Amino acid sequence: MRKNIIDNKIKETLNITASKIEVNKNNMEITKRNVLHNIEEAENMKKIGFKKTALIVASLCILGSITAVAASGFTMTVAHSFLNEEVKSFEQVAEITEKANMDLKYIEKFSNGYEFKSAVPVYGNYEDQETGTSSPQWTDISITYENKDGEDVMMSVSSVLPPMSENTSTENYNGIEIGYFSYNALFVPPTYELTEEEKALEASGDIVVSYGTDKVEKEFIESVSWSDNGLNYSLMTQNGSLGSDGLTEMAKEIIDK
Amino acid sequence: MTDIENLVVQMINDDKYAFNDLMTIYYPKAMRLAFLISGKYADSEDIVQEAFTSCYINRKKIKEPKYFERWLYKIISRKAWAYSKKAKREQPAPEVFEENTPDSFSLADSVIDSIENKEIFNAVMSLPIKQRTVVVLYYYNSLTTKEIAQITGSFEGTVKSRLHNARKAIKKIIESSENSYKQEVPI
Repeated sequence: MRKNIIDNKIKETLNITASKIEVNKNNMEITKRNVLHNIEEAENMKKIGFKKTALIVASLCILGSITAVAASGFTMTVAHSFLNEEVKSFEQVAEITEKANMDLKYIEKFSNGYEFKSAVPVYGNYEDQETGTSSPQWTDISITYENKDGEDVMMSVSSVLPPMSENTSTENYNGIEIGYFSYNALFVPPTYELTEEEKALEASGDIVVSYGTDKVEKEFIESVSWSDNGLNYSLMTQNGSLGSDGLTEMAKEIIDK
Repeated sequence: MTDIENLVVQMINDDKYAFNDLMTIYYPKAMRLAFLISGKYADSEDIVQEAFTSCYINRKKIKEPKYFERWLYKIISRKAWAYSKKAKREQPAPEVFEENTPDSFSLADSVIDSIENKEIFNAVMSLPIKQRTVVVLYYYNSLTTKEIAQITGSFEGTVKSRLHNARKAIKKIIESSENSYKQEVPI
């Protein structure tokens, strides 16, 4: 059979089949609407979202799960927030906690001068990269406080993510264990290849790697975490000067609320 | 500059109305291409939706508006491959080793009248997805092997070899179908 006869037969078959594929106008409109909605969501997603949300997850997770945020394992924790859902007035925090159905403790101002700056719901879920399945989405709350020098402390509250279990020190306050933990975080772009030295540091637990930033950044992270009335709290600061004592005192003020 | 190129330039400059027009123009072509590559009508809508979303988000990467269509085909192909990979992962273990049986077969039965066309279509759908993509882009979209190489991210030689093997496989099917037909017809 000549080559051009086969060519013509294949061409004819594909054209006939394609011409009979129903292209429904209603479906087209639905697709277009979904596409525009997806784009809007992507555009509203916080530009700084990855690092901040990775820190929220990391500050609440056990060490093993922190590594999972790096998206290199079979199971990962995915979290994202939307710029248009961020509130900047203290009164509006109640709206987002209500929407998230979370009865959490929070204050407007700490005695060390840190004051409410902003709050945002953070949507999280677990994904299994092997099977492509994901857990139902849950909502956490993140509240940022700022001092007069512009240093931030981020409070994260989750009913799902477990509290830190590898604390370097703990203090019992009115029956609640407040644990302190610090670590060196390395934020790298998604395609970044760790150096041999970084691989060794990661293996020994001296750095925690999170993939997703535009450039390589190193941060010293300190956090305190505790559980209160079914919710897991953490207060976290980057490269700050609060230390274990400063953060623990802030935790006590939240517990006392 | 053509009307399409103008729309592409406007889309690159963040004009969502232009992007909306481009979706309207390309939706039928995109749906048909997605179906012919994926072999699954149900997946085609998701593939097209994801491809259009990716198209707008990555619009700044378009260097030459006149090649927009080719660029869109590339995104659709990649999305279809990803869906196929995902579908394989989701199959229960024993089915992974079975022949590809997309829902295109049942669709082919209902829309293709000629027995020969059905045989050919099923033969195309039985090809591995990357080979099928080459066949679809070559015969349905009438692209050159060089253009297909750019879309599929392979060497032109690989495209030619995939086409050659596909033709051979399809020829065998047509001939075997003709032989069995002859045997059934009493002389």
